[in-house]
Amino acid sequence: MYSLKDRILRLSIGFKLAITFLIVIICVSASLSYLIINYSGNLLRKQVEESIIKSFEAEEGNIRTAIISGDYWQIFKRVDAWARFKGIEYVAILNTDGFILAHSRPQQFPIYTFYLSNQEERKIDIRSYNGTIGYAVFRVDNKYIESSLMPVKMFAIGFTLIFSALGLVLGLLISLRIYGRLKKIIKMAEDAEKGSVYPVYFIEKDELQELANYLYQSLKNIKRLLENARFEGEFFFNLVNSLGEMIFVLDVEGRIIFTNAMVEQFHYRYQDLIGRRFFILICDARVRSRLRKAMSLKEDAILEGQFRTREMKIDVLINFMFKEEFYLVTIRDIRELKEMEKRIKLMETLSLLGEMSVGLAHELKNALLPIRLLADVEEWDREDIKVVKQSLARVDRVLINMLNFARQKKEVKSHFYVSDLIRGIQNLFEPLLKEKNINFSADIQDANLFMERGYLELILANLIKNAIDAVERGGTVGIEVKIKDDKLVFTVFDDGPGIEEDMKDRVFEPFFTTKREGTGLGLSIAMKYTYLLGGHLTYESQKGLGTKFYLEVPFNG
Amino acid sequence: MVLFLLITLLTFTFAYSQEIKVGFTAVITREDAGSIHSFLDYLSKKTGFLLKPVFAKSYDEMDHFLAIGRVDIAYICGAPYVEGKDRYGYKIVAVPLNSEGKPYYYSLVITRKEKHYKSLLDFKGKTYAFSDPKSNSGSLVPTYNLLKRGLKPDEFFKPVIYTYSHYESILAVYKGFVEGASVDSIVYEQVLKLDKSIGKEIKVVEKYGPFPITPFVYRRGLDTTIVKKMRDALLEMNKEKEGKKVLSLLGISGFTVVEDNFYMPIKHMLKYVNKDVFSKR
Repeated sequence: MYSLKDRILRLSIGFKLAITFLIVIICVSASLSYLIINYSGNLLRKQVEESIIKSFEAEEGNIRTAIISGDYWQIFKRVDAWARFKGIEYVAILNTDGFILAHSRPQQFPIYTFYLSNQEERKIDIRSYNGTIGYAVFRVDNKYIESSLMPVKMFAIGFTLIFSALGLVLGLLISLRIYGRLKKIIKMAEDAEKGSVYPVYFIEKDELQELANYLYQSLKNIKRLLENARFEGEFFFNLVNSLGEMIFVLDVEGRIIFTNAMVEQFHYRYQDLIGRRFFILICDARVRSRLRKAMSLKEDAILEGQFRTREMKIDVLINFMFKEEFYLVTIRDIRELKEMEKRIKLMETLSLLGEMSVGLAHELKNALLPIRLLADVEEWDREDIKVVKQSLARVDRVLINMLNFARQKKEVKSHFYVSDLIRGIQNLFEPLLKEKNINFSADIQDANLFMERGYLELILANLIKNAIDAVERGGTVGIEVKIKDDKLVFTVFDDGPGIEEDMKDRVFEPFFTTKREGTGLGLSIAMKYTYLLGGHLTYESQKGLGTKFYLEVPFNG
Repeated sequence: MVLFLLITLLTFTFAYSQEIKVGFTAVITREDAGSIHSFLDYLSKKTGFLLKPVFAKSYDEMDHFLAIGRVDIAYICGAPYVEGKDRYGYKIVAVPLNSEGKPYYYSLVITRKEKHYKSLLDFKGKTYAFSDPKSNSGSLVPTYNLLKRGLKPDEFFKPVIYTYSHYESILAVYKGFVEGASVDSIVYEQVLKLDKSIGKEIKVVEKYGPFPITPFVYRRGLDTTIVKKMRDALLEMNKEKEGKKVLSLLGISGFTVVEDNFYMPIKHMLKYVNKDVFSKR
């Protein structure tokens, strides 16, 4: 199943340790034993050889004499004695021709037989004055060497066995200890998973203790980090759910992978939305396509659109954000905002009308005056009826102008002529102009515009209202409209006293007014709508000479 | 204590004032020093002489010792006696008696028990041990017997090993260095008695004899009173208990006196052999 390498790698630490001990001990003791045995063997062999060689030397004279005189029995007696030396297997004396003169095994090697030398034999010359007269041959008894070394061998084997066993036992003990300690460390880690982090201490202050300490510190840190993360998670979860906006996280294909609790307010359930395509929630096809475009370009986008709830469609502000691996979409319900906006606009309109109300009321009063006078007349003649009809027509005109101004839908773009716009405003202010006997002039370079008419109307009405308020009776108020490049430049001027130097910086502040009955909103409203139209509103004023307001708006908004 | 020992020693020194040197050759087991000392001690006590042993390696050496007076009385073989009688003037003190009480002994052909030799002649081409070249039983007898058959020992055996001692010839056989040996029957019996293990390994193949036994001789010029004292002591040995005990140690049963012509058989053999040797030359 497993290769040898795998098997070895799968062995436990202790087993590996024990085997290593064993191998080391066997290697060391085997080589040591080999060396000792070899050395002892050589030493013993040398000693045996030396002992017999010394004896040879001592007896050399006798042997020489015996050889020369042919006294083989004397030679044999010595050979026989030497063969009895410890560690000597046999001894022989040969003549120079290699024939035996005496051998310690005479039956096997009788005198005068030719001697074939053996290996491992030592051969010593027996010399006379004239040269060699014979040889002494002997061989060290290997059996003797072997048996002499037997205690050394037994000791080596015993030594090896004992130390191998000790090594094995030691390895196993160490392994058991390591195993036990590792189990404790593993238990520590397992318990840490369950939430209980505690340190582990051993008697040994070694690497395992260091590991345990390190692990304990790490687990403690991880636990703290987890607690922080959990807290943060909960915090952000609550935060996300407590936001007044719906939050959607989309994958790269536009599928919802997360949404917050806000969707429940629109009667969606979290599980209903997860995995659905986000765009089905957007009613407006134009908005959908713009979002798709932003998605493909990986761009951010802020759009207004309509969101499909379970029961209805609602106005929302969609904030589409690209975040590398996902899209974050926030959807804000702007129904109330829209409503508020409408009201503000109405109030803005009404505030102007309110300020104009005195003049209007005076106009209405003047218009109704003939009728009041005729009321005391019992019978109306034809002329009277005509006067009444004229008066009512005048009242009608005033009211229609007012209603037209108030009902104007401000945010819708439409095509209109500048001259029509100016005429309408002039009609609106006609009663006021007449009352103050103001000389109103309009110099118009006509143009067909496509923009929010209501915005432009509000700006100009406020500017003209301010000019009328500024001039004395019989003063001059005028409007000029000129086309300059791709812009339309409106100039509203008067010959009033001009703006005080110390008030020049504050004219566009809301609620700033020098008039007793003013709201102080006129110029700030004008500034707001100029911004919405993408234009500029500036003025110049000279003390005693009058004031000029310049409105620049781009064609087509 | 030391004083006592000193006095004893001095007393003995004075008592055995006359020193007599007794020579021993291959006819006795020289290694049996204990028996030789018992024998000499006994004789010293009986004769009042201070007897001292002198060992010679060969009969030639003993002849020399006797000639120069280094030895007074010697226990030698019959053949050297026959030769030395005329040349050196040896005279017999006494001759031993074998276990049967007779002044005879044998020349034995011995070999190891496992060998299949049946006679001296079977050792042709084999290593064979003679004791001393002058020995009767250990050299003369086998030489004579071979020569009688027209065989020369130096050619017949390959080779002849001279051990110069019957005991060593026995050892040479025992150790297997030689296939066979001719030895003195008295020595052979004595060796077997002393070393049982040798007897287990060795057997007698052939027996030549009987021959006149090996004599105790004295040198020319030795005081006859000493000779007489010594002879008397020897002849008396088997008549008393202590003497018998010593004799048994030596493997003999007593001593007797023989005439000079008692050694004629040996003289005859010697003459035959020498003639052959000279004729060869």
